[in-house]
Amino acid sequence: MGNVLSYEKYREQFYAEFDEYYSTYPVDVEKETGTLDQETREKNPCKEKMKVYGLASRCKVHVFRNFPFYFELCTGRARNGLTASFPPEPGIGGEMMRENREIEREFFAFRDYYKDLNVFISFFFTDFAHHCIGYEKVLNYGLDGIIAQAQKKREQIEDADGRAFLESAIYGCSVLKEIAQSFSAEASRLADCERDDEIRENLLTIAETAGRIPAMPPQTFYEALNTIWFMREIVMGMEGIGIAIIGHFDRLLYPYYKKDVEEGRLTRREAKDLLSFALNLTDAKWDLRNHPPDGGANTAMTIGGCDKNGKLVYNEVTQMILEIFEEQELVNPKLQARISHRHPIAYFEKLGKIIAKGKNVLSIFNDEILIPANVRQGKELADVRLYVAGGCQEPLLSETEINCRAYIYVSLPKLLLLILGVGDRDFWIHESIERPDIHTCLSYAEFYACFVGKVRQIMYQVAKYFNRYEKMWYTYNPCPLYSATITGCIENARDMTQGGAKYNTSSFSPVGFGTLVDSLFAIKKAVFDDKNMTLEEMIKCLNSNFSDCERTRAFLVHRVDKWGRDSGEINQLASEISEDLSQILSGIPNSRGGWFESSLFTNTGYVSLRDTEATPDGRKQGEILSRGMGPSEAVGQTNISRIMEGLAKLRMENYPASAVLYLDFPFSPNNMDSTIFSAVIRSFLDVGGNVVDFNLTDATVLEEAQKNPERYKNLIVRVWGFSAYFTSLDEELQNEMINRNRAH
Amino acid sequence: MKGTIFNIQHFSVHDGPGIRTTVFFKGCNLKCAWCHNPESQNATPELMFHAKKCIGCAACVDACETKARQIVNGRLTHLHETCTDCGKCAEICYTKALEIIGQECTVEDIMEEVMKDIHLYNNSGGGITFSGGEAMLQIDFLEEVLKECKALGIHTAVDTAGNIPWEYFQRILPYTDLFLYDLKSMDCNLHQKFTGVDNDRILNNLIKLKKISPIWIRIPCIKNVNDSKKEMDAYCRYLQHAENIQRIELIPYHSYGESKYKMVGRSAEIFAQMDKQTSQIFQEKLEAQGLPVFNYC
Repeated sequence: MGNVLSYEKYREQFYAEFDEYYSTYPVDVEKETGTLDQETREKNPCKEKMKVYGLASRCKVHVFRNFPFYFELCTGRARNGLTASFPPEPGIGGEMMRENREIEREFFAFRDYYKDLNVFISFFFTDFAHHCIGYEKVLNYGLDGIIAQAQKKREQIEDADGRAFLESAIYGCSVLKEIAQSFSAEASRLADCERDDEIRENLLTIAETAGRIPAMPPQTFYEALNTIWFMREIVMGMEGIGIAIIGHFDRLLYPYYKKDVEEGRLTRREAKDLLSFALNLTDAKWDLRNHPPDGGANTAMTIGGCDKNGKLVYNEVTQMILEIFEEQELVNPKLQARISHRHPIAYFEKLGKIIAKGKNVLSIFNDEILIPANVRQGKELADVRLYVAGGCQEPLLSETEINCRAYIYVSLPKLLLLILGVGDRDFWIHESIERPDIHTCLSYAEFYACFVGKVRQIMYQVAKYFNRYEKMWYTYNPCPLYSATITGCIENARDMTQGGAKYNTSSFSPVGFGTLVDSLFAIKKAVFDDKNMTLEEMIKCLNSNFSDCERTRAFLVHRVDKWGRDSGEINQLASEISEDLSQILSGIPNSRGGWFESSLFTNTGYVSLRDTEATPDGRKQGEILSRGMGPSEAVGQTNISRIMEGLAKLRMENYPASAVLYLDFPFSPNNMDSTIFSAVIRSFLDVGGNVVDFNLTDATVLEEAQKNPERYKNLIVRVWGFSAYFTSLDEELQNEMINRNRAH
Repeated sequence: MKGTIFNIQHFSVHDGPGIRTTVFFKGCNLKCAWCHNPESQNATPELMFHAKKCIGCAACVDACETKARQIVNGRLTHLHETCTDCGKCAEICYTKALEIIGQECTVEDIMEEVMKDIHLYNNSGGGITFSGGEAMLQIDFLEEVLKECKALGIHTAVDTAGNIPWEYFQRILPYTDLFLYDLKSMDCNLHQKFTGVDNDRILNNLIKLKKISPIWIRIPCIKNVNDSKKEMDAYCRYLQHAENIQRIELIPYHSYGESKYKMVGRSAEIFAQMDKQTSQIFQEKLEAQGLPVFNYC
C-alpha cells in the first residue's frame, strides 16, 4: 500500500486520540437527529425501525487521524457499549426499546421472584449481546449485493410484514452506504487541512476507500478489515444490539492478504500493522481502567479451525495474530482458538506461549467435539464448520445462525434444594407443580429419578416463560439491517427476532455443575449407601446452614469424594448427571421456531447465585458455586490431571452449546516452559474436551496488586468469559480471583 | 509385592522433563537438616496432624486406644510417646486433620494411578519420577514398577541421594531413562554434619553412573552450608567433563517444611536460602565449565 501507518510509531497517539474523543461519550445527539414520535408509531415494527435508521443518517461521523479505519458514527452510544441488558443503551440504538419501558418493568417483576429464590438470574429476556454479523456475505457481495437480493425478494412476495421487513433492510443498507460517503467527505475535508504527510496520506486512503466500501465488495486486505469493523461498530450503534463477535479473522482475511502480497500491494509488515490497529480498537475505545464494564468489553475473535470444506485454517494471518497477542498486552479481543489433531504442532506451541506469558485472554475450542455436536442437532456440516465463538464461549454458526446462549443462568444446586424442600418457600404453589415427596424414596436411584423428572418440569416451565417474552422481541426491537447479513432472513422475508435465520437456537447457562455432582454424590453416599445420616438429618443441616453441625459438614467436605479432587465412583456419577442434564436442557422449543441446546457454560452466575442455601457437598450459603463443567472450588484442592481424568468420562458431544472448563494455573507468568501448556491443550484434545479457558496467575502477585494497584496496572486476568485489568475489578471479584487461585 | 508410598503427585513440572507424575517412596537413609518432607524419612507409616484443619470435635479422643489423644486443660493434645501410629484416630477424623502418612501399595495400584496421565506424558515429553524419601531403598519394589513403566514405553526418572549400594543402580539401570541425583555438599564433614552420613559412597556412585546414564544434578542451595567458595569450586571440579550430565539444577531452600515437622511431632532446624547473588556466581562458575545450569534460586 505504501501508506500504512506504522503501529509502533502511532500507537501512543492513537490511544490518546481515542481517549480524548471517547471521554466525551455519551453525547446527546437528539438535537441533530430528532427522536421517535410515540404518537405516530408505526404498527409494523420494521417500519418503525426504519425511522431509527433515518435518525442514523443524520448522525455525525468521526474520522480519527492516527487510525487507519473508519467506523465511528456518533449515535449517542456509550463509550462502553455493551447493549446486553436493561435499561437500553443511550443513543438512537435504544430508541425503540425506550418507547416500551413497560416490557422492562414487567420482565424484572417476573424475574425478581426467581432471583430472590436464587433459582436463576437473568438481565434480559433474550440474549442481546453475543451476536455476529454475516461478515462473509458483506465481504462477498457488498451492501449493494445485499440490497439487490432484498429487492428481488420484495418483488416476489405479497405479504405486508415480509415486505416491510425487506424495505427496512434495504433502507438500513442504503443508510449505511450514505454513512460511508459521509466518512469519505469528512476524511477529504480533514486531509485538506492536514500538515503531516503521513497522516494526510492516511486520511486520503480513508476518503478514497469509503467512497466505495462497503457498498461494493472489498478487494484488498485493508478494505476487508475495514468492512468488518465498519459493520460491527455501526450496525451495533444503529440496531442497539450487541455484536460481540468480529468473526473468523484468519479464515476471512487470508485470501485478501494472499492476493495483496502476490500482487505486490502489501508487505507482511504492513499487514501486521493494520492488524495491530484493528485488534487494539476495543481496548483503545473502551474505558477499561476507570469504569470497567462488569461483563467485559465483549469483543471476541475466532482463529484456526477449518473452512466450509473442512480445509484447515492456519495461515500467515493466524500467525500474525498470534504474534500480536504474544507481543502486546491486549485485554480484547478475546482470542478464541479452534483446534484439532490435524493442526500443526507450531500452532499449539504458539498458543502455549501465549498462555505461559500470562496473557489470560485465550479460550480453546475443540473442533472434533463441537462440529459433530452441532451436526447432530440437524445443522448442515458446511454451516457448522464456520462456527465462531460468542462474547464468552458461546458457539455460533457464523452467517447462518442466530442464537441466544447467555441469558438464563440457572442454579443447578438450587434445583436440587427445591426438590429437597430447602429454601423453596412458596415455589411449588407459585409454579403449580406438585411438590415431590422424596421421603418415600428407598434408594438413591429412586431419589435421582425424582430429581431428574422435576428438573425437567421446572426447566420446561422456565423456558415457556422466557419464550413468552422472546415473542415480544420483534415488536420491542427488530433488527432488519443486521438480519439482512444472515442467511435465511432475506430468503424468508423475516427478521432475525422472528426466526428468519437458517438456524435459531437458544440455551440455558447452568451454573454449579460441580457443586451439583458433589451434592448428589453426598446424598448417594452419606444418606443412601453408607447411611451416615438420614435424609431428614441432611435437610436439617442444610436448612440451618450447617450451624451446630460442623462435624457433619467437615465429614461431607473431607470424607466424601468430590468431582475433580477424587476419582472412581464420583466420575461415574458425574458422567450420568452430565448425560441426563444434556437431555433435559435440549430440545425445548423456543419462540423463533428453533430449539434449546445443552450447555455447561457459566459467566457471572456462579458469583451472583452464591446466596443459594447450603448444599449437601458441605458448601455453606454465600460460598460461590462451581463454574462451567469444572469442579467446585469451595471444597479444597483440585488438580488438572484429576479434572482431565473426569472430563474423559463425559460425553462432550452432547453439549453443542459448549461445556467450558476453566483452568486456573497457580504459576507465575514467564516462569514456566510453554511446552507444558501446549501439552495441556493437546491432552485436552485427546480426552475429548469441549472448551477450555486459561488463566495463569500467582496468588501472591494478585495480593500484591491488591495492595499496590499502581504498580500492577497492566496485570490482566481472566474473570469468566472475559478478561480485565485485575486492579479495575471490585474487591469481591479480586478476592474471588485470589481464592480461586489458591484452590489449585 | 508391596511398597510404602506416601504421595503420588500429578502434574509435577519440576521433577524431570515435561509434565510428570511423581511417586514418593517412604523412608530415607539421610537425615538432611533442611529436609522439607520430614514425613518421608521414616520407613514405616506414621501419624501426621494438620492443626489448621482440626475443628476440635474430639472424635479422635474417643477413638484412640493408647490414650495418645487427650484433652489436657481443655486443649486437644497429642502424646507422641504413647502413640503407636495405629491410625484409629485418622480413620474417624472428620476433617482429615489426622492422617496416616505412608500406604502400602502394589505395583498395580501405582500403575493404575500413574497411567491416568498418559496423555499429558505423551504430549509434553513427560513421564514418571520416583522420588522420596529414597526410592532406591525399596529396590525390589522399585525395580518392578520401573519394569512395568518401561514395558508401557513411559519415560522414567529416579530421584536419588545416591547413598546406596552400587548394585542397586545396576539393577534398575535398564529401566531408568534419567537419574535426578542430589548433591548436598562436596565436603565430607559438612555432609556428615548436615545429613548424618558422609558422601564417599554418593560420590563414588556418581563417578560410575555418569559414565553410563543421563543425569540431572540437583543442588539444594543453602546459606552457610554449601555457599562457600570452597564448596562451589569443589562442585565445579567434580562435575566438569561429564557428557551425561544434562543439566544442573540449583534448588532454593524453602521453609514449607517447617510446619510439617510440627505435624509429625519433631522440631525443625531453620536455614536460609543462598543469596541470590551467590547463586548467580555459582551458576556462572558452573557454566564456565560448560555445564548447563537451571537456577531456580
